[in-house]
Amino acid sequence: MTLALSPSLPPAVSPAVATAVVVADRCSKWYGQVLGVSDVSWRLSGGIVGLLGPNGAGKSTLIKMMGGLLLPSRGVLTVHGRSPFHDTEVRRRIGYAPEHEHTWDELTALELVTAMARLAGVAAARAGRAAEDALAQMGMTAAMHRRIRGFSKGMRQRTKLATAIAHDPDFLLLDEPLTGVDPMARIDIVERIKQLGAAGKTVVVSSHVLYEIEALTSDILVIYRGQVLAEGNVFAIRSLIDRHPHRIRVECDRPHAIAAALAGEDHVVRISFERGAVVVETREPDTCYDQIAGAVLAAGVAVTALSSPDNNLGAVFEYLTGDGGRR
Amino acid sequence: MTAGQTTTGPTSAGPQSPGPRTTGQIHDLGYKRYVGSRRSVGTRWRVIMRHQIATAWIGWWRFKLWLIAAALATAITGGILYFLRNNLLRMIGGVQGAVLTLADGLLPLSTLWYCKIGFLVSLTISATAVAGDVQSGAFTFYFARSVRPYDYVVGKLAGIGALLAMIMLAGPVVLAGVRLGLSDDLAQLITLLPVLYKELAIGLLGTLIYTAVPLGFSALVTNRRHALAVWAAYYLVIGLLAVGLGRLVSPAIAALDLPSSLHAISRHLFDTRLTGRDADPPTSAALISILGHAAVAIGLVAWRVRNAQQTGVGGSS
Amino acid sequence: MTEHDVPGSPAMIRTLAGITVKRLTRGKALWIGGLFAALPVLQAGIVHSWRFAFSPRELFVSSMLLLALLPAIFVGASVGEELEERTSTYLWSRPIARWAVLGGKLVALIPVVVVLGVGGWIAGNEVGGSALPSLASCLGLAAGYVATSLVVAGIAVVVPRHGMALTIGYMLVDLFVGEMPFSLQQLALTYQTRALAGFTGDPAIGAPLIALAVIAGIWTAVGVLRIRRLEV
Repeated sequence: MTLALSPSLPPAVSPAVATAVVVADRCSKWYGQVLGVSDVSWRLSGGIVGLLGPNGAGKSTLIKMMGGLLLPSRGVLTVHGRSPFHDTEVRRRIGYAPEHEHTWDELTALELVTAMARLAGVAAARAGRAAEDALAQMGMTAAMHRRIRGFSKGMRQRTKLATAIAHDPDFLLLDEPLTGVDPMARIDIVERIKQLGAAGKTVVVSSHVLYEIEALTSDILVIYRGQVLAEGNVFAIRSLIDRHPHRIRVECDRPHAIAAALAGEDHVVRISFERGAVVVETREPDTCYDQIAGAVLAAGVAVTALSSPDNNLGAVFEYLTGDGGRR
Repeated sequence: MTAGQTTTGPTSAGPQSPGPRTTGQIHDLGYKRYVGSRRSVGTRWRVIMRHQIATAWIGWWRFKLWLIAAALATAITGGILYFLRNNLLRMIGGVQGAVLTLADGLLPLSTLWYCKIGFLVSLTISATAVAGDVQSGAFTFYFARSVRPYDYVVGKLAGIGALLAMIMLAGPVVLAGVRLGLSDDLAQLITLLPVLYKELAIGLLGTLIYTAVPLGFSALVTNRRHALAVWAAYYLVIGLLAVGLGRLVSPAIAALDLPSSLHAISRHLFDTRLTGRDADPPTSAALISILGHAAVAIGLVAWRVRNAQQTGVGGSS
Repeated sequence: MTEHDVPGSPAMIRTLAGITVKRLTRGKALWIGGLFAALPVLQAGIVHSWRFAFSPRELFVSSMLLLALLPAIFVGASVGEELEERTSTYLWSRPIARWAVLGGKLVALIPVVVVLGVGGWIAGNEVGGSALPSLASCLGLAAGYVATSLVVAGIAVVVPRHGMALTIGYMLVDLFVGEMPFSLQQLALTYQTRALAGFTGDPAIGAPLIALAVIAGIWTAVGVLRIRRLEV
């Protein structure tokens, strides 16, 4: 899904805007002299979106603006058409799990989640049940009567996520939900987030760990130094990065035969050899794949492996930020 | 330990209980050990001292505001000394009831407001220092390095002491300078020179009170806010009780109130006494009280820090 | 989409008050506050055991010091902690008015402060003088604690990290101002509390009540205005 951008919203709200969950229009945020987010224009319609960026990029700032915790210094950011900072009504539909670990440690997990559900408007009679369900979804049933003070990091993260979902919001903001979580718990939490997305909720997950986002979604928003570098499907973004040709690696018994077949092509930028493999750098990966297939058949080459080492989120992120954010 | 040195551990075969590793190896992946000079262990406390001072300097509420208040108090007192030096002072009297001028009486009286400012600084810095480190888990950082409990205790005392000295010591010494500057002639100046040493002594004792004693409470109560409250309650309420009991039972009991002890020593050094009020606690009791409080407090800090080192205390979640 | 309504402020204040009380009962602040509240009893006990003349006025002076401490350790600490440790992010992201967060805490903590403070005063009088204190003194002290708690809340919102220390400093200055023999003393919470309690010789209660309400109101307004714009 690639989202269209518009530098400014028209006076009459278009259908796209009307259905958009988040609309950010030239949104900036300063902390004194420090620029948190700079001139961000973005529209989110739904699904799971990975908010990607290094430490200090502005991910948490953007998430907090969406959650109603920060007010943009300039520009406008709306959630379901309203300002989350000023409008209590719209915050009913938001579930926010903060990045920090501080909670009310004197309470049990169930007490905390129940309190959060009640504060989000769930009736007192139903809040307890809703809290139990949320904790069960996060795999915390066994520990829900224990005080949070004695929890591990993973348990705290799960409890935080439970507070975010207990009141059944349709828009979830999860700020680094996998920080400090062990590998098994990580897999489990990723699955649960994917289930939330599959259930129709709009989820924004921020992280600086690429494989976490990769496991969750292919729709990303890359932030770097407060600016949006790229947004949309990670593979579509990759195809737009012309400065770094695609690398295709073919492991075979006769790499020189493939190299000879491709050497004269205009779209091929570079050919290099590794032990038992040839690596082709091309600006037109689709054409190149077809030509490789043709060369393999024509020369009778035995191919053992075919891969694209840089057609992934890590490469996209590295190319985008490694260039200093130059577009 | 040098790169490439192999470990001496147990072999993989056989049910041997592994002993502690005594060597280690760093593989050559580009890491280069620091080869410059290293600070000697005996000076590590200075790092903690500097860190304490630097932290206190952050923001306005922690220390700068009170420093400005102390500077203003000093300026105002100095101004009063200068312009009204010959006016008579009724609050305190000289030996055998002699009436003092402001020039002579204001210096011992000035401990009143320096003590108040010192107490406020102790609330924002001293009383929360150790408890804050315990709560935040700073000890795990300290003791993962070659920092000894001694370094921590001395560093904290030196750092906080330096800050309090800017108020409790610098102010009175400046006033002493002003008083000396008001001398009519050289002979009077020489006669008045002991004023400087007296203010130095009072300032040092005052610095000790507001550095060490709240630090002790901070070590006793490991929650920052609770430590602050307990210190404030001890200083204000127990102090008031002690003064009341001193009035009713024996003046020596009033020495438990730290500011009263400091005022008593100050008035003793300047050969003055309060007029129309009850007796000051005896100077010896006052001195013992101040030094005793400080010793117990430093002992508490040392105990807490040693405990932290031995139990590998972590921080709050 | 969720089906439940935006919660009303009274319900939210009740919920927050309940949470605050629950947390209070599980922490150490209540014990420490109780210890502080017992200090006037200790004073009265010493006076009684040594057979000195008991003076309610002197005992009230200790209670004035507790006016600086009890609201700080309960209200100041609670509000300051919430803002400093950013647990307020859980609350601000909920559909509740920000002032209601402050309201919930005050609704829970002010009664605790009043009970401890006035309780200590009553117990001290019983132990020292073997008689209950006057109703006026109890009500006056209670009003003082309420007003001070509101002032403390305002200070803690403005300076969360050092709210407790600044509150104690503020009250010490207030005590000093309250002792001044001229009209400036009207600005002091401690003076107005003494006036309401009947320890200034002036029987009027209207003026002290209004003065307390104005001082507390100003700081409450500061706190509410600040909290509405606070970003975490």
